[in-house]
Amino acid sequence: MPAPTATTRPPEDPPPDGRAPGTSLPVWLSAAGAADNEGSWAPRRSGRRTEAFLDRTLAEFAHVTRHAVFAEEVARRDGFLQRLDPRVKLGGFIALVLAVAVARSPVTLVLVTLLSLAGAARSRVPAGFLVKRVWVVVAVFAGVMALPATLNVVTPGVAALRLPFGLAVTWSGLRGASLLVLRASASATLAAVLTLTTRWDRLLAAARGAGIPPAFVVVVDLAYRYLFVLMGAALETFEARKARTVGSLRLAQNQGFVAAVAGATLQKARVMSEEVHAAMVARGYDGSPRLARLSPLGAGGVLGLAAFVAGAYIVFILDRVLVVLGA
Amino acid sequence: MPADIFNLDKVSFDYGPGAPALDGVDLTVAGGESVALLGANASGKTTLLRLLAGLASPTKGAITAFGVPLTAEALRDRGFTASFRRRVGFVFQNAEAQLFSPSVAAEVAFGPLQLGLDESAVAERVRDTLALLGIEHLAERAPFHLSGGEKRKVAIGSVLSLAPDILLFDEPTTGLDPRSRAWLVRFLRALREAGKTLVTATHDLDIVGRLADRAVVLGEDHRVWSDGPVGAVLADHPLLVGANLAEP
Repeated sequence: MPAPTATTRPPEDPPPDGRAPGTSLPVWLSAAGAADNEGSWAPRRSGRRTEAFLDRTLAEFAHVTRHAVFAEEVARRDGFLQRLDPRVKLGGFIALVLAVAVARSPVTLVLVTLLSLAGAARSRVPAGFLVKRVWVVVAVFAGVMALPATLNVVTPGVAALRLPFGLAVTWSGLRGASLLVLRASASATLAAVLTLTTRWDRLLAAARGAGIPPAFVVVVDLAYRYLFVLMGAALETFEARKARTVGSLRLAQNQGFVAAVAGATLQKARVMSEEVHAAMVARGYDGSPRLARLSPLGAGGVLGLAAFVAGAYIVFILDRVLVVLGA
Repeated sequence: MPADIFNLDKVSFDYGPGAPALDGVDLTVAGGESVALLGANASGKTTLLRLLAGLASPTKGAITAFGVPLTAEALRDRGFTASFRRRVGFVFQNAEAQLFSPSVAAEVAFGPLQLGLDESAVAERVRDTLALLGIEHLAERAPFHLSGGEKRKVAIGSVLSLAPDILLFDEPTTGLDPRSRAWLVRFLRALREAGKTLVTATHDLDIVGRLADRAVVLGEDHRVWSDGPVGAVLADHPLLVGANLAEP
Protein backbone atom coordinates (compact mmCIF):
# COMPACT_ATOMS: atom_id res chain seq x y z
CA MET A 1 0.00 0.00 0.00
CA PRO A 2 1.48 3.36 -0.94
CA ALA A 3 2.08 5.63 2.02
CA PRO A 4 0.11 8.88 2.22
CA THR A 5 2.09 11.75 0.85
CA ALA A 6 3.35 14.67 2.83
CA THR A 7 0.53 16.81 1.47
CA THR A 8 -2.13 14.65 3.13
CA ARG A 9 -2.55 14.86 6.86
CA PRO A 10 -3.40 11.71 8.83
CA PRO A 11 -7.11 10.90 9.12
CA GLU A 12 -8.98 12.38 12.05
CA ASP A 13 -11.65 9.74 12.39
CA PRO A 14 -11.30 6.15 13.53
CA PRO A 15 -11.05 3.85 10.54
CA PRO A 16 -14.37 2.20 9.64
CA ASP A 17 -12.75 -0.60 7.70
CA GLY A 18 -9.18 -0.40 8.83
CA ARG A 19 -8.39 2.20 6.17
CA ALA A 20 -9.58 5.52 7.36
CA PRO A 21 -10.69 8.11 4.84
CA GLY A 22 -9.30 11.42 5.91
CA THR A 23 -11.06 14.73 5.78
CA SER A 24 -8.00 16.98 5.43
CA LEU A 25 -7.53 18.04 1.86
CA PRO A 26 -4.24 17.90 -0.03
CA VAL A 27 -2.74 21.24 -0.98
CA TRP A 28 -3.63 20.89 -4.66
CA LEU A 29 -7.27 20.33 -3.73
CA SER A 30 -7.58 23.20 -1.27
CA ALA A 31 -9.53 26.27 -2.34
CA ALA A 32 -6.40 28.37 -2.77
CA GLY A 33 -4.64 25.71 -4.81
CA ALA A 34 -7.60 25.14 -7.06
CA ALA A 35 -8.35 28.80 -7.71
CA ASP A 36 -8.15 30.17 -11.19
CA ASN A 37 -4.66 31.35 -12.02
CA GLU A 38 -5.44 33.30 -15.17
CA GLY A 39 -6.86 36.28 -13.33
CA SER A 40 -10.39 35.70 -14.48
CA TRP A 41 -13.14 33.38 -13.35
CA ALA A 42 -15.09 33.54 -16.57
CA PRO A 43 -14.25 30.52 -18.76
CA ARG A 44 -12.54 31.76 -21.90
CA ARG A 45 -13.23 30.63 -25.43
CA SER A 46 -10.41 29.22 -27.51
CA GLY A 47 -12.18 29.11 -30.87
CA ARG A 48 -11.55 25.36 -31.12
CA ARG A 49 -14.45 22.92 -31.11
CA THR A 50 -14.99 20.19 -28.52
CA GLU A 51 -14.81 16.50 -29.39
CA ALA A 52 -17.66 16.02 -31.83
CA PHE A 53 -18.11 12.30 -31.22
CA LEU A 54 -19.13 12.81 -27.57
CA ASP A 55 -21.65 15.50 -28.46
CA ARG A 56 -22.98 13.50 -31.40
CA THR A 57 -23.39 10.37 -29.29
CA LEU A 58 -25.16 12.26 -26.53
CA ALA A 59 -27.36 14.02 -29.07
CA GLU A 60 -28.31 10.66 -30.59
CA PHE A 61 -29.17 9.22 -27.17
CA ALA A 62 -31.28 12.29 -26.41
CA HIS A 63 -32.97 12.07 -29.83
CA VAL A 64 -33.93 8.42 -29.37
CA THR A 65 -35.31 9.11 -25.91
CA ARG A 66 -37.31 12.15 -27.03
CA HIS A 67 -38.58 10.19 -30.02
CA ALA A 68 -39.76 7.32 -27.80
CA VAL A 69 -41.43 9.72 -25.35
CA PHE A 70 -43.16 11.53 -28.21
CA ALA A 71 -44.30 8.30 -29.90
CA GLU A 72 -45.79 7.12 -26.59
CA GLU A 73 -47.59 10.44 -26.23
CA VAL A 74 -49.02 10.20 -29.78
CA ALA A 75 -50.21 6.65 -29.09
CA ARG A 76 -52.13 7.94 -26.04
CA ARG A 77 -53.92 10.72 -27.95
CA ASP A 78 -57.63 10.49 -28.52
CA GLY A 79 -57.66 9.79 -32.27
CA PHE A 80 -59.48 7.60 -34.79
CA LEU A 81 -56.91 4.79 -34.96
CA GLN A 82 -56.00 4.98 -31.25
CA ARG A 83 -59.61 4.09 -30.42
CA LEU A 84 -59.49 0.86 -32.46
CA ASP A 85 -58.64 -2.47 -30.88
CA PRO A 86 -54.94 -3.14 -31.57
CA ARG A 87 -55.82 -6.61 -32.91
CA VAL A 88 -58.05 -4.97 -35.52
CA LYS A 89 -55.23 -2.61 -36.49
CA LEU A 90 -52.67 -5.40 -36.64
CA GLY A 91 -54.98 -7.58 -38.75
CA GLY A 92 -55.75 -4.64 -41.04
CA PHE A 93 -52.07 -3.81 -41.30
CA ILE A 94 -51.17 -7.36 -42.35
CA ALA A 95 -53.97 -7.43 -44.96
CA LEU A 96 -52.97 -4.05 -46.41
CA VAL A 97 -49.26 -4.88 -46.48
CA LEU A 98 -50.08 -8.08 -48.40
CA ALA A 99 -52.12 -6.02 -50.88
CA VAL A 100 -49.20 -3.59 -51.25
CA ALA A 101 -46.72 -6.44 -51.71
CA VAL A 102 -48.60 -7.82 -54.74
CA ALA A 103 -49.59 -4.42 -56.19
CA ARG A 104 -48.16 -3.66 -59.65
CA SER A 105 -49.59 -0.21 -60.32
CA PRO A 106 -47.87 2.90 -58.92
CA VAL A 107 -51.32 4.52 -58.64
CA THR A 108 -52.40 1.83 -56.17
CA LEU A 109 -49.31 2.34 -54.06
CA VAL A 110 -49.72 6.11 -54.01
CA LEU A 111 -53.39 5.65 -53.09
CA VAL A 112 -52.58 3.36 -50.14
CA THR A 113 -49.93 5.81 -48.93
CA LEU A 114 -52.39 8.72 -49.13
CA LEU A 115 -55.04 6.69 -47.28
CA SER A 116 -52.48 5.90 -44.56
CA LEU A 117 -51.63 9.59 -44.26
CA ALA A 118 -55.34 10.46 -44.06
CA GLY A 119 -55.73 7.88 -41.28
CA ALA A 120 -52.71 9.37 -39.52
CA ALA A 121 -54.14 12.88 -39.81
CA ARG A 122 -57.46 11.75 -38.30
CA SER A 123 -55.47 10.14 -35.51
CA ARG A 124 -53.60 13.36 -34.70
CA VAL A 125 -50.22 12.03 -35.85
CA PRO A 126 -48.14 15.02 -37.00
CA ALA A 127 -47.43 14.74 -40.73
CA GLY A 128 -43.91 16.12 -40.39
CA PHE A 129 -43.01 13.53 -37.78
CA LEU A 130 -44.33 10.74 -40.01
CA VAL A 131 -42.49 12.02 -43.07
CA LYS A 132 -39.20 12.27 -41.20
CA ARG A 133 -39.65 8.87 -39.61
CA VAL A 134 -40.57 7.07 -42.82
CA TRP A 135 -39.75 8.80 -46.01
CA VAL A 136 -36.27 10.02 -45.28
CA VAL A 137 -35.23 6.48 -44.39
CA VAL A 138 -37.10 4.97 -47.36
CA ALA A 139 -35.63 7.50 -49.77
CA VAL A 140 -32.12 6.75 -48.56
CA PHE A 141 -32.26 2.97 -48.33
CA ALA A 142 -34.86 1.89 -50.91
CA GLY A 143 -33.72 4.65 -53.28
CA VAL A 144 -30.08 3.56 -53.14
CA MET A 145 -31.04 -0.09 -53.56
CA ALA A 146 -33.29 0.69 -56.53
CA LEU A 147 -30.78 2.86 -58.38
CA PRO A 148 -28.94 0.02 -60.20
CA ALA A 149 -32.31 -1.30 -61.45
CA THR A 150 -32.73 1.85 -63.53
CA LEU A 151 -29.70 1.00 -65.71
CA ASN A 152 -29.88 -0.84 -69.01
CA VAL A 153 -27.44 -3.49 -67.79
CA VAL A 154 -30.01 -4.59 -65.19
CA THR A 155 -33.27 -3.63 -66.89
CA PRO A 156 -33.02 -3.44 -70.70
CA GLY A 157 -35.40 -1.12 -72.53
CA VAL A 158 -35.77 2.23 -74.25
CA ALA A 159 -33.20 4.73 -72.99
CA ALA A 160 -34.54 7.70 -71.03
CA LEU A 161 -31.08 9.10 -70.30
CA ARG A 162 -27.78 8.13 -71.93
CA LEU A 163 -24.70 7.83 -69.68
CA PRO A 164 -20.98 7.30 -70.47
CA PHE A 165 -19.50 3.83 -71.10
CA GLY A 166 -22.60 2.62 -72.95
CA LEU A 167 -24.76 2.86 -69.88
CA ALA A 168 -28.28 4.29 -69.95
CA VAL A 169 -31.24 4.80 -67.65
CA THR A 170 -34.21 3.01 -69.20
CA TRP A 171 -37.92 3.80 -68.93
CA SER A 172 -38.69 0.26 -67.80
CA GLY A 173 -35.88 0.51 -65.25
CA LEU A 174 -37.28 3.78 -63.91
CA ARG A 175 -40.72 2.21 -63.62
CA GLY A 176 -39.35 -0.82 -61.76
CA ALA A 177 -37.28 1.36 -59.40
CA SER A 178 -40.17 3.72 -58.69
CA LEU A 179 -42.43 0.73 -57.98
CA LEU A 180 -39.88 -0.56 -55.46
CA VAL A 181 -39.57 2.81 -53.74
CA LEU A 182 -43.34 3.37 -53.71
CA ARG A 183 -43.96 -0.12 -52.34
CA ALA A 184 -41.40 0.46 -49.58
CA SER A 185 -42.96 3.87 -48.83
CA ALA A 186 -46.50 2.47 -48.63
CA SER A 187 -45.47 -0.44 -46.39
CA ALA A 188 -43.30 1.74 -44.13
CA THR A 189 -46.06 4.36 -43.82
CA LEU A 190 -48.55 1.67 -42.82
CA ALA A 191 -46.09 0.28 -40.26
CA ALA A 192 -45.35 3.73 -38.87
CA VAL A 193 -49.03 4.61 -38.55
CA LEU A 194 -49.66 1.31 -36.76
CA THR A 195 -46.80 1.74 -34.28
CA LEU A 196 -47.44 5.44 -33.70
CA THR A 197 -51.11 4.93 -32.88
CA THR A 198 -50.67 1.83 -30.74
CA ARG A 199 -48.93 1.63 -27.40
CA TRP A 200 -46.10 -0.90 -27.29
CA ASP A 201 -47.74 -3.13 -24.69
CA ARG A 202 -51.02 -3.23 -26.62
CA LEU A 203 -49.21 -3.98 -29.87
CA LEU A 204 -47.53 -6.96 -28.23
CA ALA A 205 -50.88 -8.12 -26.84
CA ALA A 206 -52.26 -7.90 -30.38
CA ALA A 207 -49.30 -9.96 -31.63
CA ARG A 208 -50.24 -12.66 -29.15
CA GLY A 209 -53.80 -12.49 -30.44
CA ALA A 210 -52.40 -13.03 -33.95
CA GLY A 211 -50.84 -16.30 -32.83
CA ILE A 212 -47.25 -15.19 -32.10
CA PRO A 213 -45.88 -17.53 -29.36
CA PRO A 214 -45.93 -15.96 -25.85
CA ALA A 215 -42.23 -16.76 -25.34
CA PHE A 216 -41.34 -14.66 -28.38
CA VAL A 217 -43.61 -11.83 -27.26
CA VAL A 218 -42.06 -11.82 -23.77
CA VAL A 219 -38.51 -11.76 -25.20
CA VAL A 220 -39.34 -8.85 -27.53
CA ASP A 221 -41.06 -6.96 -24.71
CA LEU A 222 -38.10 -7.41 -22.35
CA ALA A 223 -35.61 -6.55 -25.08
CA TYR A 224 -37.44 -3.30 -25.88
CA ARG A 225 -37.74 -2.26 -22.25
CA TYR A 226 -34.16 -3.10 -21.25
CA LEU A 227 -32.80 -1.49 -24.38
CA PHE A 228 -33.79 1.82 -22.83
CA VAL A 229 -32.40 0.82 -19.45
CA LEU A 230 -29.04 -0.02 -20.99
CA MET A 231 -29.13 3.04 -23.20
CA GLY A 232 -29.69 5.10 -20.06
CA ALA A 233 -26.65 3.46 -18.45
CA ALA A 234 -24.49 4.13 -21.52
CA LEU A 235 -25.80 7.71 -21.67
CA GLU A 236 -24.79 8.31 -18.05
CA THR A 237 -21.32 6.97 -18.75
CA PHE A 238 -20.92 9.25 -21.76
CA GLU A 239 -22.17 12.21 -19.69
CA ALA A 240 -19.79 11.34 -16.86
CA ARG A 241 -16.96 11.29 -19.37
CA LYS A 242 -18.11 14.62 -20.80
CA ALA A 243 -18.32 16.13 -17.30
CA ARG A 244 -14.65 15.25 -16.82
CA THR A 245 -13.46 16.27 -20.28
CA VAL A 246 -11.04 19.09 -19.65
CA GLY A 247 -8.63 18.50 -22.49
CA SER A 248 -8.33 16.55 -25.67
CA LEU A 249 -7.54 12.87 -25.83
CA ARG A 250 -5.62 11.00 -28.49
CA LEU A 251 -7.56 8.87 -30.96
CA ALA A 252 -6.35 5.67 -29.30
CA GLN A 253 -7.61 6.91 -25.91
CA ASN A 254 -10.99 7.74 -27.40
CA GLN A 255 -11.15 4.33 -29.01
CA GLY A 256 -10.22 2.78 -25.68
CA PHE A 257 -13.03 4.71 -23.99
CA VAL A 258 -15.64 3.58 -26.51
CA ALA A 259 -14.44 -0.03 -26.18
CA ALA A 260 -14.59 0.25 -22.38
CA VAL A 261 -18.16 1.58 -22.50
CA ALA A 262 -19.22 -1.16 -24.91
CA GLY A 263 -17.59 -3.80 -22.72
CA ALA A 264 -19.07 -2.41 -19.51
CA THR A 265 -22.53 -2.16 -21.11
CA LEU A 266 -22.32 -5.77 -22.29
CA GLN A 267 -21.26 -6.85 -18.83
CA LYS A 268 -24.16 -4.91 -17.31
CA ALA A 269 -26.53 -6.49 -19.83
CA ARG A 270 -25.33 -9.95 -18.82
CA VAL A 271 -25.63 -9.25 -15.09
CA MET A 272 -29.01 -7.60 -15.60
CA SER A 273 -30.34 -10.50 -17.67
CA GLU A 274 -29.33 -12.92 -14.91
CA GLU A 275 -31.02 -10.73 -12.29
CA VAL A 276 -34.19 -10.39 -14.37
CA HIS A 277 -34.31 -14.14 -14.91
CA ALA A 278 -33.77 -14.76 -11.18
CA ALA A 279 -36.56 -12.30 -10.37
CA MET A 280 -38.87 -14.10 -12.80
CA VAL A 281 -37.99 -17.50 -11.34
CA ALA A 282 -38.56 -16.15 -7.81
CA ARG A 283 -42.09 -15.26 -8.89
CA GLY A 284 -42.91 -18.66 -10.28
CA TYR A 285 -41.55 -18.55 -13.84
CA ASP A 286 -40.70 -22.06 -14.99
CA GLY A 287 -39.57 -21.48 -18.56
CA SER A 288 -42.97 -21.18 -20.22
CA PRO A 289 -44.47 -17.73 -19.83
CA ARG A 290 -48.14 -17.52 -18.92
CA LEU A 291 -49.67 -14.21 -19.87
CA ALA A 292 -53.05 -12.71 -19.01
CA ARG A 293 -55.88 -13.93 -21.20
CA LEU A 294 -56.90 -11.46 -23.90
CA SER A 295 -60.44 -10.15 -23.80
CA PRO A 296 -62.77 -11.30 -26.62
CA LEU A 297 -62.63 -9.13 -29.73
CA GLY A 298 -66.35 -8.29 -29.68
CA ALA A 299 -68.74 -7.58 -32.52
CA GLY A 300 -67.30 -4.11 -33.18
CA GLY A 301 -63.82 -5.51 -33.42
CA VAL A 302 -64.84 -8.28 -35.79
CA LEU A 303 -66.64 -5.73 -37.96
CA GLY A 304 -63.60 -3.45 -37.99
CA LEU A 305 -61.31 -6.31 -38.91
CA ALA A 306 -63.70 -7.37 -41.68
CA ALA A 307 -63.74 -3.77 -42.96
CA PHE A 308 -59.95 -3.68 -43.12
CA VAL A 309 -59.74 -7.04 -44.92
CA ALA A 310 -62.44 -5.92 -47.35
CA GLY A 311 -60.52 -2.69 -47.92
CA ALA A 312 -57.35 -4.63 -48.66
CA TYR A 313 -59.27 -6.82 -51.11
CA ILE A 314 -60.66 -3.73 -52.83
CA VAL A 315 -57.13 -2.39 -53.14
CA PHE A 316 -56.09 -5.70 -54.72
CA ILE A 317 -58.97 -5.66 -57.24
CA LEU A 318 -58.42 -1.96 -58.01
CA ASP A 319 -54.78 -2.68 -58.71
CA ARG A 320 -55.65 -5.42 -61.21
CA VAL A 321 -58.03 -3.04 -62.98
CA LEU A 322 -55.43 -0.27 -63.09
CA VAL A 323 -52.82 -2.67 -64.50
CA VAL A 324 -55.25 -3.74 -67.23
CA LEU A 325 -55.95 -0.05 -67.99
CA GLY A 326 -52.21 0.55 -68.15
CA ALA A 327 -52.07 2.97 -65.19
CA MET B 1 -14.18 33.69 -6.53
CA PRO B 2 -17.05 35.69 -8.05
CA ALA B 3 -20.07 36.46 -5.87
CA ASP B 4 -22.42 34.36 -7.99
CA ILE B 5 -21.27 31.07 -9.47
CA PHE B 6 -24.56 30.14 -11.10
CA ASN B 7 -27.55 32.24 -12.01
CA LEU B 8 -30.69 30.67 -13.45
CA ASP B 9 -33.33 32.93 -14.95
CA LYS B 10 -36.76 31.35 -15.50
CA VAL B 11 -35.23 28.06 -16.60
CA SER B 12 -37.47 25.31 -17.95
CA PHE B 13 -36.54 21.94 -19.34
CA ASP B 14 -38.55 19.08 -20.78
CA TYR B 15 -37.73 15.62 -22.10
CA GLY B 16 -40.42 15.87 -24.77
CA PRO B 17 -44.06 16.98 -25.01
CA GLY B 18 -45.85 16.23 -21.79
CA ALA B 19 -42.62 15.37 -19.98
CA PRO B 20 -41.54 18.54 -18.16
CA ALA B 21 -38.64 18.31 -15.74
CA LEU B 22 -38.25 21.96 -14.66
CA ASP B 23 -40.64 24.85 -14.95
CA GLY B 24 -39.57 28.49 -14.60
CA VAL B 25 -36.77 27.96 -12.09
CA ASP B 26 -34.96 31.04 -10.72
CA LEU B 27 -31.88 30.22 -8.68
CA THR B 28 -28.59 31.76 -7.65
CA VAL B 29 -25.64 29.88 -6.16
CA ALA B 30 -22.96 32.04 -4.56
CA GLY B 31 -19.29 31.14 -4.22
CA GLY B 32 -18.46 29.10 -1.11
CA GLU B 33 -22.10 28.28 -0.44
CA SER B 34 -23.44 24.84 0.33
CA VAL B 35 -26.88 24.48 -1.19
CA ALA B 36 -29.18 21.51 -0.80
CA LEU B 37 -31.69 20.80 -3.56
CA LEU B 38 -34.62 19.05 -1.95
CA GLY B 39 -37.42 17.38 -3.82
CA ALA B 40 -39.33 14.15 -4.21
CA ASN B 41 -38.45 11.65 -6.93
CA ALA B 42 -38.95 13.08 -10.43
CA SER B 43 -39.22 16.66 -9.14
CA GLY B 44 -36.31 17.71 -11.38
CA LYS B 45 -33.31 17.71 -9.04
CA THR B 46 -31.09 15.63 -11.31
CA THR B 47 -32.11 17.66 -14.34
CA LEU B 48 -31.22 20.84 -12.50
CA LEU B 49 -27.78 19.45 -11.66
CA ARG B 50 -27.27 18.38 -15.29
CA LEU B 51 -28.05 21.92 -16.40
CA LEU B 52 -25.60 23.35 -13.84
CA ALA B 53 -22.98 20.88 -15.05
CA GLY B 54 -23.49 21.98 -18.65
CA LEU B 55 -24.63 18.52 -19.71
CA ALA B 56 -27.94 19.82 -21.01
CA SER B 57 -29.29 23.20 -22.03
CA PRO B 58 -32.58 24.71 -20.89
CA THR B 59 -35.60 24.47 -23.17
CA LYS B 60 -36.49 27.99 -21.99
CA GLY B 61 -34.71 30.58 -19.88
CA ALA B 62 -31.01 31.26 -19.41
CA ILE B 63 -28.13 30.17 -17.21
CA THR B 64 -24.98 32.11 -16.46
CA ALA B 65 -21.94 30.49 -14.88
CA PHE B 66 -19.12 32.63 -13.47
CA GLY B 67 -20.88 35.62 -14.98
CA VAL B 68 -20.95 34.38 -18.57
CA PRO B 69 -23.81 32.67 -20.43
CA LEU B 70 -23.70 28.88 -20.18
CA THR B 71 -25.04 27.97 -23.59
CA ALA B 72 -24.77 24.95 -25.87
CA GLU B 73 -22.72 27.09 -28.24
CA ALA B 74 -20.27 28.10 -25.49
CA LEU B 75 -19.92 24.48 -24.43
CA ARG B 76 -18.92 23.50 -27.95
CA ASP B 77 -15.82 25.65 -27.53
CA ARG B 78 -12.92 23.55 -26.33
CA GLY B 79 -11.29 26.30 -24.24
CA PHE B 80 -14.53 27.27 -22.54
CA THR B 81 -15.45 23.66 -21.82
CA ALA B 82 -12.02 22.77 -20.44
CA SER B 83 -12.07 25.82 -18.18
CA PHE B 84 -15.66 25.17 -17.07
CA ARG B 85 -15.22 21.47 -16.40
CA ARG B 86 -12.00 22.02 -14.47
CA ARG B 87 -14.00 24.16 -12.06
CA VAL B 88 -17.27 22.24 -11.89
CA GLY B 89 -17.25 18.58 -10.84
CA PHE B 90 -20.34 16.37 -10.98
CA VAL B 91 -20.74 13.20 -8.92
CA PHE B 92 -23.58 11.19 -10.44
CA GLN B 93 -26.22 9.34 -8.43
CA ASN B 94 -25.35 6.10 -10.17
CA ALA B 95 -21.69 5.78 -9.27
CA GLU B 96 -21.30 2.80 -11.56
CA ALA B 97 -22.12 4.88 -14.61
CA GLN B 98 -19.31 7.23 -13.78
CA LEU B 99 -16.66 4.53 -13.75
CA PHE B 100 -15.40 3.55 -17.17
CA SER B 101 -11.69 2.89 -16.70
CA PRO B 102 -10.07 -0.51 -16.28
CA SER B 103 -8.75 0.19 -12.76
CA VAL B 104 -9.45 2.51 -9.85
CA ALA B 105 -6.08 4.24 -10.25
CA ALA B 106 -6.75 4.80 -13.98
CA GLU B 107 -10.18 6.15 -13.13
CA VAL B 108 -8.77 8.74 -10.72
CA ALA B 109 -5.94 9.57 -13.13
CA PHE B 110 -8.28 10.22 -16.08
CA GLY B 111 -8.97 13.87 -15.22
CA PRO B 112 -5.42 14.93 -14.22
CA LEU B 113 -4.04 13.32 -17.39
CA GLN B 114 -6.36 15.46 -19.46
CA LEU B 115 -5.28 18.55 -17.58
CA GLY B 116 -1.88 17.93 -19.11
CA LEU B 117 -0.13 17.41 -15.77
CA ASP B 118 3.19 15.62 -15.86
CA GLU B 119 3.40 12.02 -14.74
CA SER B 120 4.67 12.75 -11.23
CA ALA B 121 1.90 15.30 -10.62
CA VAL B 122 -0.70 12.82 -11.85
CA ALA B 123 0.75 10.11 -9.61
CA GLU B 124 0.69 12.52 -6.67
CA ARG B 125 -2.96 13.37 -7.25
CA VAL B 126 -3.91 9.72 -7.56
CA ARG B 127 -2.00 8.84 -4.39
CA ASP B 128 -3.45 11.75 -2.43
CA THR B 129 -6.98 11.15 -3.63
CA LEU B 130 -6.92 7.44 -2.82
CA ALA B 131 -5.42 8.19 0.61
CA LEU B 132 -7.97 10.91 1.27
CA LEU B 133 -10.79 8.48 0.54
CA GLY B 134 -9.13 5.54 2.28
CA ILE B 135 -9.15 3.36 -0.82
CA GLU B 136 -5.44 2.94 -1.59
CA HIS B 137 -5.90 -0.83 -1.41
CA LEU B 138 -8.33 -0.68 -4.33
CA ALA B 139 -5.92 1.08 -6.69
CA GLU B 140 -5.48 -1.84 -9.08
CA ARG B 141 -9.01 -3.25 -8.77
CA ALA B 142 -11.56 -2.97 -11.59
CA PRO B 143 -14.26 -0.43 -10.56
CA PHE B 144 -17.04 -2.68 -11.87
CA HIS B 145 -16.35 -5.30 -9.19
CA LEU B 146 -16.36 -3.01 -6.15
CA SER B 147 -19.10 -2.70 -3.53
CA GLY B 148 -21.61 0.15 -3.71
CA GLY B 149 -19.84 2.24 -1.07
CA GLU B 150 -16.45 1.68 -2.70
CA LYS B 151 -17.81 2.66 -6.10
CA ARG B 152 -19.18 5.85 -4.58
CA LYS B 153 -15.76 6.71 -3.16
CA VAL B 154 -14.04 6.03 -6.47
CA ALA B 155 -16.62 8.16 -8.27
CA ILE B 156 -15.97 11.02 -5.84
CA GLY B 157 -12.23 10.53 -6.21
CA SER B 158 -12.45 10.59 -10.00
CA VAL B 159 -13.98 14.07 -9.75
CA LEU B 160 -11.87 15.39 -6.87
CA SER B 161 -8.63 14.64 -8.72
CA LEU B 162 -9.55 17.50 -11.09
CA ALA B 163 -9.53 19.82 -8.05
CA PRO B 164 -12.85 21.47 -8.93
CA ASP B 165 -14.02 24.51 -6.99
CA ILE B 166 -17.69 23.67 -7.38
CA LEU B 167 -18.98 20.19 -6.66
CA LEU B 168 -22.40 18.93 -7.67
CA PHE B 169 -23.60 15.80 -5.86
CA ASP B 170 -26.65 13.85 -6.98
CA GLU B 171 -28.19 11.84 -4.13
CA PRO B 172 -24.77 11.12 -2.63
CA THR B 173 -26.03 8.91 0.21
CA THR B 174 -28.06 6.53 -1.96
CA GLY B 175 -27.10 2.92 -1.31
CA LEU B 176 -24.57 3.72 1.44
CA ASP B 177 -24.47 1.90 4.76
CA PRO B 178 -24.64 4.07 7.93
CA ARG B 179 -20.88 4.16 8.42
CA SER B 180 -20.16 5.18 4.84
CA ARG B 181 -22.97 7.71 5.03
CA ALA B 182 -21.51 9.26 8.19
CA TRP B 183 -18.10 9.39 6.55
CA LEU B 184 -19.54 11.06 3.47
CA VAL B 185 -21.27 13.75 5.54
CA ARG B 186 -17.99 14.50 7.35
CA PHE B 187 -16.17 14.56 4.06
CA LEU B 188 -18.60 16.97 2.44
CA ARG B 189 -18.36 19.21 5.49
CA ALA B 190 -14.58 19.21 5.12
CA LEU B 191 -14.92 20.24 1.48
CA ARG B 192 -17.27 23.02 2.48
CA GLU B 193 -14.92 24.24 5.21
CA ALA B 194 -12.13 24.28 2.64
CA GLY B 195 -14.11 26.84 0.67
CA LYS B 196 -15.61 24.60 -1.99
CA THR B 197 -19.03 25.45 -3.36
CA LEU B 198 -21.38 22.50 -2.95
CA VAL B 199 -24.74 21.80 -4.54
CA THR B 200 -26.24 18.58 -3.25
CA ALA B 201 -29.46 17.11 -4.59
CA THR B 202 -31.08 14.82 -2.07
CA HIS B 203 -34.29 13.76 -0.41
CA ASP B 204 -32.35 12.51 2.61
CA LEU B 205 -33.48 15.17 5.10
CA ASP B 206 -31.30 13.72 7.88
CA ILE B 207 -28.08 14.93 6.28
CA VAL B 208 -29.27 18.28 4.97
CA GLY B 209 -28.96 20.22 8.23
CA ARG B 210 -25.36 19.05 8.65
CA LEU B 211 -24.35 19.80 5.07
CA ALA B 212 -26.03 22.89 3.77
CA ASP B 213 -26.43 26.58 4.57
CA ARG B 214 -29.36 26.95 2.26
CA ALA B 215 -32.11 24.67 1.01
CA VAL B 216 -34.07 24.92 -2.22
CA VAL B 217 -37.26 22.88 -2.39
CA LEU B 218 -38.52 21.66 -5.76
CA GLY B 219 -42.17 20.71 -5.87
CA GLU B 220 -43.67 17.86 -7.85
CA ASP B 221 -44.84 20.51 -10.31
CA HIS B 222 -41.12 21.06 -11.11
CA ARG B 223 -41.12 24.60 -9.71
CA VAL B 224 -39.14 26.11 -6.84
CA TRP B 225 -41.40 26.12 -3.80
CA SER B 226 -38.99 27.52 -1.28
CA ASP B 227 -35.46 28.90 -1.13
CA GLY B 228 -34.03 29.92 2.24
CA PRO B 229 -31.84 29.09 5.23
CA VAL B 230 -31.76 25.35 5.77
CA GLY B 231 -33.06 25.57 9.34
CA ALA B 232 -36.15 27.53 8.32
CA VAL B 233 -36.92 25.20 5.41
CA LEU B 234 -36.54 22.06 7.49
CA ALA B 235 -38.78 23.53 10.20
CA ASP B 236 -41.58 24.15 7.69
CA HIS B 237 -43.37 20.82 8.03
CA PRO B 238 -46.38 21.69 5.82
CA LEU B 239 -43.97 22.68 3.03
CA LEU B 240 -42.08 19.39 3.31
CA VAL B 241 -45.30 17.38 3.35
CA GLY B 242 -46.60 19.27 0.33
CA ALA B 243 -43.40 18.60 -1.57
CA ASN B 244 -43.64 14.90 -0.66
CA LEU B 245 -40.48 15.10 1.43
CA ALA B 246 -42.06 14.25 4.79
CA GLU B 247 -44.96 12.17 6.03
CA PRO B 248 -48.12 14.09 6.95
